[in-house]
Amino acid sequence: MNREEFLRQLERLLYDIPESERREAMEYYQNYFEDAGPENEAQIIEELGSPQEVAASIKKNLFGENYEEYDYETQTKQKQPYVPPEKPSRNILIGIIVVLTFPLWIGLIGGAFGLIVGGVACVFAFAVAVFALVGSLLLVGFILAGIGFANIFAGLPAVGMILISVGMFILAFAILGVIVIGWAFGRILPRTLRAIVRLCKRPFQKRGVMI
Amino acid sequence: MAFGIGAALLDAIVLAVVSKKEEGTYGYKITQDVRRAIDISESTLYPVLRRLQKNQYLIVYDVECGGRNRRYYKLTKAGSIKLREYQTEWTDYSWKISNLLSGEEQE
Repeated sequence: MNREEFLRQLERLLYDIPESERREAMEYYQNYFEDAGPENEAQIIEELGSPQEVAASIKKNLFGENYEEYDYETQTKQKQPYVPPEKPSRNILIGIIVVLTFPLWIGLIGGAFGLIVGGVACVFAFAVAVFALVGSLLLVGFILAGIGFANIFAGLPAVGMILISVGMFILAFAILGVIVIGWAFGRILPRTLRAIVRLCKRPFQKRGVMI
Repeated sequence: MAFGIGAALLDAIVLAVVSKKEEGTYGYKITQDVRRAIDISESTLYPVLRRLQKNQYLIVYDVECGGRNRRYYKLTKAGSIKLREYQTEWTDYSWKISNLLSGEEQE
């Protein structure tokens, strides 16, 4: 609540007192805020309590013959309903802490970023290695088998047979590798990507629920 | 503070604070001065000032200050007499209470 709002509410609450009294009280509190200065505005509003309290103190003086003894207990009781807004100060505090711990969290963020990049590079390198291995197995298998056939026709059937069987053996591994790669790309990769996307979405979804 | 402040004591305090300024003083200043001595809420002072003004112990007048009017309070003749009365009574009263509380035998 700001000064204007406070005074407006106070004026509304004083509707049932004589016009001259109302004008007098409003003038006093307007003066009061002006003399305190805008820098003390929030503090004054907090210390005055609510417009209801101020209005009550004015009416008690007008209508009661002798206003009741002002003791410490009523004062504390009156002050209780007012809950000072603590959210802005807390936000400011968090801001200060964030700025003060800058060297710490910038290191943490850098470390986390490095870890993610390193992990991605690792997976990528592994994939490349697997591709290269399977590719070379295929190539070697075909070449050996080819040389084997050439040997059979060149009059060295025994050597040719051995070379063909070795080539076929290697090709079997290569085909197995192709199947594994096909499976990895068809199944594992989409699933992993989906999992990563879900993981990234989660914090935002949570915040959305809280609001 | 454990001790309540009655209407009469509050009147006496405000009269004393206002009397300290020959040329008069204004609401915000009075509140600050009173609050330096006793812990009362800021909303307490207006009714006291209004009452003292109605009883003609205080007189108000406006002074131009920075493009606006500031309301000053000043003791009237009746206010000065009332203050002196309060002072005498308070001296007597507080002396008696102090003696009782200190636990020392008098006479």
